[in-house]
Amino acid sequence: MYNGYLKIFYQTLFFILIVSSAPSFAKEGKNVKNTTQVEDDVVFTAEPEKKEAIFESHEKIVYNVNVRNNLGEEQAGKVGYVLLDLQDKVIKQDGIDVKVGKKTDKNFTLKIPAQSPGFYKVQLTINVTDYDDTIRRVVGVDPKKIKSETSKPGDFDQFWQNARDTLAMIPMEAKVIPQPALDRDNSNCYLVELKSYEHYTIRGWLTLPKDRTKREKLPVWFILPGYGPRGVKPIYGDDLAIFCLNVRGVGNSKDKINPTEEGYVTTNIENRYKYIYRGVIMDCLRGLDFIASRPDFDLNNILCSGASMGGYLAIATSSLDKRVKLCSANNPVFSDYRSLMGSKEWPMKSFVKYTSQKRIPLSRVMNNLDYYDLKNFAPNMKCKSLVGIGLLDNLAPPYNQYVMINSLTNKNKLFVYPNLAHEVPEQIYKYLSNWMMDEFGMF
Amino acid sequence: MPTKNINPIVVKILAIVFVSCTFLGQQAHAGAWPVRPGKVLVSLTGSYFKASRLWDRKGKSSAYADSGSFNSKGLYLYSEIGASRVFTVIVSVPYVSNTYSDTRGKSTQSSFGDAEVGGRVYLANINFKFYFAIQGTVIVPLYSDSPTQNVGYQSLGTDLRLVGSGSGSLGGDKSCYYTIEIGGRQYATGNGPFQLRSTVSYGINLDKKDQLAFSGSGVLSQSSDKAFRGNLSQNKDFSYVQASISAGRSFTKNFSVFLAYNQFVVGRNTGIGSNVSLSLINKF
Repeated sequence: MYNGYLKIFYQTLFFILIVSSAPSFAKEGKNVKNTTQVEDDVVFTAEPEKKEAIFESHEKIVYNVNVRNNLGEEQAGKVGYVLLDLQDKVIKQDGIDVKVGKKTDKNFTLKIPAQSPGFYKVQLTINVTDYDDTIRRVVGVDPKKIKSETSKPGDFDQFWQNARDTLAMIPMEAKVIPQPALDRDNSNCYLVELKSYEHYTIRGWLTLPKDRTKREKLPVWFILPGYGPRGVKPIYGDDLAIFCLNVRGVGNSKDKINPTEEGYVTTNIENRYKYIYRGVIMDCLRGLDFIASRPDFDLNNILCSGASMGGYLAIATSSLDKRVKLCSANNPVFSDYRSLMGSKEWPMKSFVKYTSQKRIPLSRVMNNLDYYDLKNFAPNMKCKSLVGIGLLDNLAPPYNQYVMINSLTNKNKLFVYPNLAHEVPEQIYKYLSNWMMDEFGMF
Repeated sequence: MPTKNINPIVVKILAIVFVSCTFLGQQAHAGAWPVRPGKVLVSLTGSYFKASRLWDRKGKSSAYADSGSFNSKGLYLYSEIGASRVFTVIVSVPYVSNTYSDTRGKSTQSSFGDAEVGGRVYLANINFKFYFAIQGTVIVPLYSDSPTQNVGYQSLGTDLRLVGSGSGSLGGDKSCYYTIEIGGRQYATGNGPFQLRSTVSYGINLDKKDQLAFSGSGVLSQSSDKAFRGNLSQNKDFSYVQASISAGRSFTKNFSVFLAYNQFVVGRNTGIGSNVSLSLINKF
């Protein structure tokens, strides 16, 4: 079903979405290795018994570990685990005595007592004659039972309807400017310029197949940007219109607003009506207005996708605007903000820093963020969705992801990657391509 | 060319299956994948079949009596029309010229053959890797019962088959696909045969333009009419297995050409023949 073009396409998309998805200042070293080793002398690996590291609350959490001893001497000592909650409080730790003969390898099983629903950190440790190491993992236990402890504001829907009404009063004034220098083999590239919420000018890149016919209506892939100033570049396809939008303050949409990378997430956060993401989400809807204005686009077949902040925007957009048929969101951020209170990770650390500098109560910001919380958008998303998450994700932690996922009422497909952080593997884009082809009848 | 690219492959599968068409009026289809709504796939195939030997009712090989031979030249127009996401309309019209000759003389029948009209419904998939469809067609003879036109059973019929198709990567630009289909065909005349039919195809996309494919197919045709006729298109009780190899090239996104050779390898009450065909396939 695939050929080289398709492979190149989803590899390109994978690269673009991942590279542009995470805030660079928020990237921190994480041990996401599946294997630890010291000069190949001893190799220590661990795999959860359940492929996705998601266990039931009535069963033990089981890890299969392997110790490969390449040394010329027997290695003796302990292999063990430390189970911690998300606040790093130790729940349980234990270990087993091991002996691994020279130039051999041995398998061991670590069984952790059953736990109540939630996510847990697991440290798998080895301490033998000539080698010590720790593999850090996260496991889920009945995560489908995780629920947010806070509710959606009563006027959430009205808040966003008001924003949409305001947007509707602003003429789009779309300009589509050919970019021959950016054309590729079978694609024309255009710069799209739109007027959006608060009369900001936003821009995006549209690519269309050169061999399209006049009567042809092209399915549309609407791609939203990850966090950071770089934004999205043109993505090229065939038999598709691909529209990559840079929302305000991102990429080539910085005319009136150009916050720093760290300051973006707190821009006007003290006012829920002025917070940058109100405009950002309206920019995404304006992008859909542009798509809907094109007679050559198939308005029944619109895929809205993104990763990290782009994933957040894809879900928020698909929730507010029913013109989207499929939604793909990988590692979506900004879910269940209040459960992140006390977190030292982005974005909470940015909120704390900002409110501290501005002498604003954090509670006021949290009240505003309730209107921007992904878990509150999720229930209204009616189109089919595909979500990919990493259990080691420190920016979009799995607990928060599951709060959002458990709020979904649509038909959705979830991929869980136990050994990945704020990223997804290339295969999910292959699946996405297949899924889109199937749903849009693009065989 | 990102997401679609199932199209060229469907085209290729179409070609592979289609080139296995013989004088017996077998029809082609494009695996289990549907055709995109609004798109039309058209294939024009020219084929030449010749048999100088035959298998008798026990499957024993022998020469035709009186140094006889049978040949069939065919021109097949086949089209698939994407009606919806899951439904594809299928139409095929063959023009056939069958000739049997021996030391006593030569007889030729030339006419439009058994047309088929029907559709294919895409049923389901397994993780977007293997696709299932069901296909049904009605067989309509386009010829009269005359000595110069009778190129088939001259009977209405129905054909129903299940189709499964999948594909995979072979690394780099190389990929593969496979199709398995099995079905039955019933002709409406009193002793019109009931036929079990199956095809297995495997193709390799060598690069973005070229492909090589192999397929095997078999027909088990049963009827109370056990007679063997030199004009093979008139035989009703027979069986055979044939193997084919084809090479194809996509010249544009929408246009491909396929050259195929197939050989009957085992059979009963039918000719031992081989077939060469050339297909031009375009998507509109």
